[in-house]
Amino acid sequence: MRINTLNTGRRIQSGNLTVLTVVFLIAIILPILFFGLSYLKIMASYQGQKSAIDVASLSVAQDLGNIVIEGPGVGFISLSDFAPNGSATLATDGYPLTVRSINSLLATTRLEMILSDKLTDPILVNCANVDYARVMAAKTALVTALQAAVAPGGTALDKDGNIIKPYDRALNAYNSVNIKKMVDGTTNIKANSLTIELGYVEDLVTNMPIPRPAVFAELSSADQESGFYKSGRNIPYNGKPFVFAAGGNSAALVDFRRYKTTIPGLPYQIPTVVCCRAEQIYNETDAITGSRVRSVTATSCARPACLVDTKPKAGLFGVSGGVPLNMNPYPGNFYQLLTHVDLYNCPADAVYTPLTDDYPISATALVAVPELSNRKHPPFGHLLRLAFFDWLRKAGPCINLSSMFTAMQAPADFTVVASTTAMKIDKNGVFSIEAFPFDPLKSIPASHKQLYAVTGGAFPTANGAFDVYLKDQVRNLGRVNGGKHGGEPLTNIQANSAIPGVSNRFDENPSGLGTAPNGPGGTTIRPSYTATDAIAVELKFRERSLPPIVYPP
Amino acid sequence: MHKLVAMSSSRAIVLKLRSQRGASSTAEFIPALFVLVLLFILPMLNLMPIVLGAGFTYLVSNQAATRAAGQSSYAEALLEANKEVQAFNGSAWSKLLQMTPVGGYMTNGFDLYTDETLTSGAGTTTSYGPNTAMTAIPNQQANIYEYKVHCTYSLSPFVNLSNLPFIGSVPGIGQPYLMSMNAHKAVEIPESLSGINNAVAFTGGAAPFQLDSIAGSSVPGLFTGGGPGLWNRPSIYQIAENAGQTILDSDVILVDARNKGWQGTNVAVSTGNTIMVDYYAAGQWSNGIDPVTGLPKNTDADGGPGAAFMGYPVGCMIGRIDASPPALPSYLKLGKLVWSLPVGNSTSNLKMALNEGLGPLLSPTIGPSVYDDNAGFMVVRIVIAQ
Repeated sequence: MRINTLNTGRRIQSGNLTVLTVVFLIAIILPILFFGLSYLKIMASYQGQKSAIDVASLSVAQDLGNIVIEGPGVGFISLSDFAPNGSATLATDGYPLTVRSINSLLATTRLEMILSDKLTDPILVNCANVDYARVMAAKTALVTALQAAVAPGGTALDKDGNIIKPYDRALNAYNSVNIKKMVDGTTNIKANSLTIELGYVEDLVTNMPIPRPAVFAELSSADQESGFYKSGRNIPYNGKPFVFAAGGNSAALVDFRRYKTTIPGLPYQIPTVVCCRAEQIYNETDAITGSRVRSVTATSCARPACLVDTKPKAGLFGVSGGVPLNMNPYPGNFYQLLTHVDLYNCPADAVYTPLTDDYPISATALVAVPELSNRKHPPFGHLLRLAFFDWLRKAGPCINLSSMFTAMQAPADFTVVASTTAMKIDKNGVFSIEAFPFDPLKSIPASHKQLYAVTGGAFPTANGAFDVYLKDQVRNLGRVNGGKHGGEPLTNIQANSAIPGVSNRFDENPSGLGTAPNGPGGTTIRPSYTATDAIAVELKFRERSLPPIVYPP
Repeated sequence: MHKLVAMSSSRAIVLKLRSQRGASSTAEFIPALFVLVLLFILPMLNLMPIVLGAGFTYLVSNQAATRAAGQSSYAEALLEANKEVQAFNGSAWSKLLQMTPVGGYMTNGFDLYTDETLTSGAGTTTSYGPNTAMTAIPNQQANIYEYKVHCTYSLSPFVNLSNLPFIGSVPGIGQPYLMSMNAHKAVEIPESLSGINNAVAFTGGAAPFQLDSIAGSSVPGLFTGGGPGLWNRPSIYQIAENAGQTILDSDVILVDARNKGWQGTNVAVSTGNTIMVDYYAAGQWSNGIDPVTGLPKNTDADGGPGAAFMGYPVGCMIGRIDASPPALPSYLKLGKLVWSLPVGNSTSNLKMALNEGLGPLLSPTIGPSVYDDNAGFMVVRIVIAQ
């Protein structure tokens, strides 16, 4: 039969079912295929758009971490720490200044408060409270600057003075991603639809370490993770609220579904998580529906990069010139020096600040100390603690308190006249005692706008008396308040050519003071950042001999 | 082989006949395949889970170590590592690969060690554990600390070939294979290491000393009294300021008892200024030798009981200002003196001396004077206020 059929060549009458099946399948499968294709296109274009908005939010997050402003009373601030190598952070000495992150300032102030309480010292407590007010003002200024920068058309500056335009850069980044790949037609971002907000993602961990050892952190376990503060929550100390900004070692995307514009109950806001939204218009054509327009909004969030400077250089807290041997009891360590009753209860005969340049190049003026009840002649011991506080503040939040307590009680030889016995802090926050050669002809000058105090005749000897000088080069920070060196330690002191003379007064003989060299400008890193012998605070003892006998009249 | 068959139609049909060639080859192929499967493919199939198992063993070790490293106490570290391992042990991968934990903490197949490595010298590593905290206090200056997670699993063969000769006893092919891996992670909070139940405390630290041990240090910037000091009146500036006066000038000078002339100071005085002086509390000088006792006649700046000169006690501190004609000396007793005398210029420098007989009669410029047998000096703080 089959052979016959083959032989006749006629069309087989059966097989209608096959046609029906094919038509049916086409009717079912084609729409599914079209839907699938269309869905694929939508998803692909959304992924393209998501990629674009991710790039945009990351770009803003990177920019945020680079914005630098000059904070009131605290120097240059940012979301990141920067080494002193920014050409726009030049102090008048021609070297750049360090940039501190707001988290670093907050953590430092919190640590200051804890330390002050642990040492039960009212002067340190007062200093920490004054610092807190400064940091709060700086925080407000930084938040304002960040908010302004991310607004359409907003600008800011980085540490080198480059103009940062986060909004424009985000828009460019968004547009640079090819969303059109899977679109039949045209697609563009809806005009002015890109919005950039700053807000929060709760409980993001920062890269700012809690006080070390942890037993001094004074917080609950939930306030930290792996030894780092959490952001976006109040971690108070002594009734003062501390809220840390979200940020990590690099800019990174975070879950946009957890984004919040504010966190209720926070005493103040430091919104740093970037939330970018953009609406994309798709003008598409296809064979079935013809042309159509649809819009899709995509959202992305990123946390900014908040770099932490791993080697903040606090400089030295040094004692020079040899402590008088008749000090009773003789101080055998820094703790005993700081609490020496006789030194403590000497009145400060003068608290100076050099007016236009370093002393002795510039004249000085008597100043009152705000942290010391605005007094011009406070107890010298109060000034010494103030300087100690300033030095610790310069070291930042990474100091190890146990190490500090140990170092303060470790034996220190203050007897050597030609030596500076100093406490120093390494990059891990560990304290140590070290001796450096002290050249009376290279005695450091008093930094412009910093604190320079003297108490005269404090310790009489058989042939004269010791005057005691305190130079706190890290008292006032920043270019505005901090003067020529911006509150940075001094190093590479150039010797004065003159031989120090003798006079019967408490002032340090200016010819015995050296000069701090000026820098070349630009991005040359400040020498004190890499030097191991830069001096932040110097307590200097100078023996003054009896003046020659005079005759009548 | 093909064969043409004649049909009723004109078309020829070609019939295929089975070839007789290769029959022996086919007969050999079956046992060869059997041997191949048994001795090569199935063992290879059993080796693949071992490779996967090795990867998973390291993965779970690493995950457990990472989880442990961030905890704030050893107990928590152990707990979290256990959770991580348990999660894997109950997973589909573990079942698929027939991984059975061997021994370890709670028979979950892992042990947690604390490795202490000296950062100096030979870098010797001491391992504490398993599953117990180190008893020593961590020394972060000298050592680095890592958690080591040691995982052991038994991997059963995918296909049981234990009955096969020769290969039936090979671990991994015919017998279970014992797999162990170590993973290390630096301990993020080394303080957490000392004591299994000692969670890191985040509060309550105490300083070994206080700085407020000095009496009278409670008000920043102010002398609040109480503490002993070197000076009779260390709050001399504060006294002036509290009286509403402005400090105009000050100095601390050394006045030599042997000086038979007026010793200049660096402070200037105007009419109406207040001169305040303070002396080093233990300061003494002597105005000669007592002829009776042979001892120095020591006095403080207020002077001694001897004969008075110019109406002031002998040995006391006197002062005058430059003026023309010279102003009369004043007794610079401890305390304050309002300078009411006229001055030569609008301001004139204050001069000071020990009161024993200044002037040409007793102290000629040349030759011996009554000051020659004096000794000592006085450290004087002078504050000029108004």
